[in-house]
Amino acid sequence: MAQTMTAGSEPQVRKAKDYRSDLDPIWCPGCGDFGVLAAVSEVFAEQQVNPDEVVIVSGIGCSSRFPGFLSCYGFHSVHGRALPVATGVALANPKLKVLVVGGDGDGLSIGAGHFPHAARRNVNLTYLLLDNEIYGLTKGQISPTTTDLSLARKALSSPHGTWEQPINPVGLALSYGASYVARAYSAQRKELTSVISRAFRHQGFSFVQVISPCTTFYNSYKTMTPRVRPIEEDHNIHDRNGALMLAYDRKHVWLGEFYRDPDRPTLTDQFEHLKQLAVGGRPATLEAVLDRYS
Amino acid sequence: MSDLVVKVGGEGGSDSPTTAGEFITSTAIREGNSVFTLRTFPAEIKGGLATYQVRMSDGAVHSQGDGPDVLCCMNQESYDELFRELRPDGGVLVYDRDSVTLDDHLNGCVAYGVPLSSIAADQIKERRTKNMVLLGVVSALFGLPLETLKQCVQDKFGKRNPDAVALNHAAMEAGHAWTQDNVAKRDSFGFTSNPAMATVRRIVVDGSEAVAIGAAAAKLDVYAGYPITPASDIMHWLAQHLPRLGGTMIQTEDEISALGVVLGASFAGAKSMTATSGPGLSLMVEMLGLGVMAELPAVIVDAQRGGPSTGLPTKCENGDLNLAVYGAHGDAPKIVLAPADIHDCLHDTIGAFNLAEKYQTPVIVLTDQSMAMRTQAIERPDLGAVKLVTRKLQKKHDPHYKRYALTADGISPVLLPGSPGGPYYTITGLSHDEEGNPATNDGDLGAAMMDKRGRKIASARFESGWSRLFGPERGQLGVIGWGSLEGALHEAVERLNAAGTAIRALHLRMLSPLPVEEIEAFAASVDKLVVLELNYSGQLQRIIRAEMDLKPGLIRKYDGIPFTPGEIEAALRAEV
Repeated sequence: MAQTMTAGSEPQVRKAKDYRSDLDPIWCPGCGDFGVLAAVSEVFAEQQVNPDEVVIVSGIGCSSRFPGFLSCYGFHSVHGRALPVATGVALANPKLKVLVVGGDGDGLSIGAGHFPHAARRNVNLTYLLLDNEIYGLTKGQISPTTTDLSLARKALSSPHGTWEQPINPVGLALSYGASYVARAYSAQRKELTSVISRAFRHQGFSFVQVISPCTTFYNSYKTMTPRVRPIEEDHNIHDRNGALMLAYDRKHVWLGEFYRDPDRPTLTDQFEHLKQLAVGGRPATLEAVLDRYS
Repeated sequence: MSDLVVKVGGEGGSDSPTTAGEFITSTAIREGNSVFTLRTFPAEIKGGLATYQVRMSDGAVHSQGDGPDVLCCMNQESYDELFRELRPDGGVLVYDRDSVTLDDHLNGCVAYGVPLSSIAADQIKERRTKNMVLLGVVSALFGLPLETLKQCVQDKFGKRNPDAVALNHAAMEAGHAWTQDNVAKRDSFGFTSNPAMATVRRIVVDGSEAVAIGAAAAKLDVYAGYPITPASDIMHWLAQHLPRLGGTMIQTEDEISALGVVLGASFAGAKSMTATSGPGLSLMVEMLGLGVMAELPAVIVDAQRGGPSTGLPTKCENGDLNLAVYGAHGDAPKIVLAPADIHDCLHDTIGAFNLAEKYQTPVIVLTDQSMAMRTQAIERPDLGAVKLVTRKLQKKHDPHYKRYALTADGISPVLLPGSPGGPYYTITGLSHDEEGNPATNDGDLGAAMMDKRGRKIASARFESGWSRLFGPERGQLGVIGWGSLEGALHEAVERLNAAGTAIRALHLRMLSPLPVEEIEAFAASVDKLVVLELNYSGQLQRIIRAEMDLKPGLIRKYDGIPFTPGEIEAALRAEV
C-alpha cells in the first residue's frame, strides 16, 4: 500500500497501473472483482484523479479488501459499516473524493440499516456494491441477493436451498432516494468502466450495483450472461418510476444508468448552507455563546 | 454559612415542578449562592411524579444534601411519595391544601397549607400558574427575593412572550401576598444572599451543556449521535451552536453509525465525538475495537443510566465501567475518564480530546444521569487559557513513512489523507504491519503491535490532574471513589473528620489506565481501604483487586438515586 510518489514532482500523466498498489489481490482466479479493480483504475486514469485526494472505504468481505489494492488513502473498516465511516470522511474534509466498495452481504445484510440513510442524505460519495450473491470470504453461505436455487444448494448454509426472497439492490437504491443509480456487469468491462466513470463524476450519492460473480462458490456467469441487456437509449434517466419498472423486470437484468438527479444538494452543500445561515454573515464565537449562560 | 435544601414535587407536565425548581435555582445563583440540584422525572412522556431538589448556600456546596429542609407538594402523590424524605426534626412542609390531604402524624414537621390551585384558578384565571404561585409562597416564607425571582422569569420569557411574564408575575405576587396575609412563620429556615459572590463571573449550566461547551472549547469539528436518554441534550446543544462555531452535527440512524461517522471523520483529521448512554455504548463496542486497532482519536461520552438492557432510563447508576474498560473483543486498551461534577464535565471533556489526540485512541467519558440533568453555577471558563493538544502529525514528505511505525512510546506520527504524495496507506481492523498492510500470518509482528498499543495507553496513567484527595495525611480508613458521588463523599469525609474520625478519600477521574502507583501510595497511607460505587457489583473494586495486590472492601448503592452525604457517613462509620 505504501507506494511512493514523489511530492512536488512535475505533473505527470498517470496511467491505470499507476493507481495500483504493490499488494496482490487475495481474490480467486476468475473473480469478477478483478474486473472492477481494473475498471476503477482505468476511470482514475481517464479522469486523471489526484490520488492524494481519494479515500476508499470498505467494510469486510472479499470485495472489501479493495482499498489496499489501489494507491491512495484507504480505510478497511468493520463488517457492514463502510457507509457511516465514509460519511464521516466526507463530512470532515469535503475536498476528499470518497469511494465505497463492498459486497452484497456487507451492504445489504449486516449493513443494510445504513444504506437508506447514506442515500437519502445524499452524501457525496460513490458506492460500488460488488454483488456475487454469496458470502465468499466465509466460504460459501447464501446472501440477501442469492437468486439461483441450484447454486444456493451448493452453499454450506443452505444444503436444502433457500426460500427467502432476494433483495433487489437497484430497486432499494431507487426507493431510498439515491440521486444516481446504475447497474453494471464485471464481464462487460467497457460498459462497467463507463458507468463507474459517470458515477464517480456525479455530485452526491451515486450507487452502482456491479454484478461480480464468485467463481469458487457461486459461479453465475453462465446463467447471468444471457439475462443481461443494456438499458434502451430512450429510457428517461430522470424518471424514478420508470427506473423502478426496469429494476423489477423479471425477464431481463438491465444494465446501465437507471436514474440520475444532478440537482439535488449534497449533504456537504446542506451543511455549508446551514453554517452560512447560522452565522448570518457574522463570525460567531464560543465566548458569545457563553454570555447566554452568565 | 447558610444551607437550605428545597424540594418541589408534583405532576410532571401539568404542575411543572421542574420549572419552579429552575427558577429557585437561577434566583439563588443570582443572589450569589452556590447551588446543587437533583432532578428526578418519570420515564413517561407526560404525567407521573416529577421532583426538583435544590440546595442553596452562601458558601460552597458539594452535594445535594441529606433530604429536603423544605418540601413543597403540589399534589397528593408528591406528598405520599416524598414526605418520608423530609427531615424529621422540624422540617417544613408546604402543600397545596386544595389537592393534598395530610396524614395525622407529621413527625414534628411544620406544615403550611396554601390554596395553590384555587389562587391560580380563581385569582389568576390560569391553572397552570400553580407553580408560580408556589414560588411566591416560598419567597415570602424563606426570604428568597421576589424581585430577583421576577427578573429571572422576565429574562426567560420576556423576549418571546411578554404576556406570560405578566401572568407569571401576577401569580408570584398573589402567592407572596396570600402568605404574608395568612401565614405566621413557625420555622427557622431562611435564604441568605451573598452579594460578594454575585459579581464572580459564573455560567449556569447542566452537565450536558457543560460537556457540549467543553467539546466546543476543544474545537470539535464533527459530532454524530443518536437520540437516547439522558445523553440527547448534548446533541441538542451542539445542533444549536456547532454550525455557528464552524462544526457539523449529524443525527445518525443508530449508535453504530454514530461511532462509524466519528471514526471516519477522525481518520480524515477532524476532532470528532459522539455521546450516548449504556444501551448505545453496548452497540458501539465493535467500532470501539476498530478505533483502538486503527489508532484513531475519538471522544465517546456515556451519560450512564441504570442497566442492564433498557434498565432505568431516567435514573442514575455508575455501572458502565466494565463495558468502558473492557469493551471490545480481544484486548483493546483505551482511556476511560469519569468527571465528578459539572465543572469537570466541561474541563474533562477538553481533557478527553487532548488525550485522544495525544495517544491516538478512543477516550470514553463516563458521566451520568444525575450530572447530565443537574444545574450548577460554575466559574466561567477562560477560553484563552485552554490548552489544546493535536495529534502528532507527519508534516514533511518522507518516502519511507510508516503509519504504524513501532516507536518507543507507541505513538506514531499521522499522515492525514489529503496529504500530497503519500506514501499512501490503508488503515484496517486487521492485525497489520507498520505500513498498515494486513499481516495476519506474522505472529511476532502482531504481538509487537499489541505491545505498542498497550504501552501507549499504559503510559497515560502518569498524566497529572486526574484525581483529588480529601481528608488528613493519614487515615484509619481510606475511601476510593469515582463518578458523581464525589461531592457527597467529600461532605461525609469532612463531617467524620470533624467528629474525630481520620478518614481520607481518593477520588479518581481516570479509571483506565488504572493509576496503580497513585492507588498504592494512597493505600499505604490508610489502615483500611474501601471502594465506594454507584453500582451492584463494585466494578472499580474488582478492577483494583484484579490489577493490584490490594483487597479493598466495597460500599455500594444501585437503586437509581445518588448517595446522600448522610448515607455515606453512616456506611463509613460502620467501617471504622
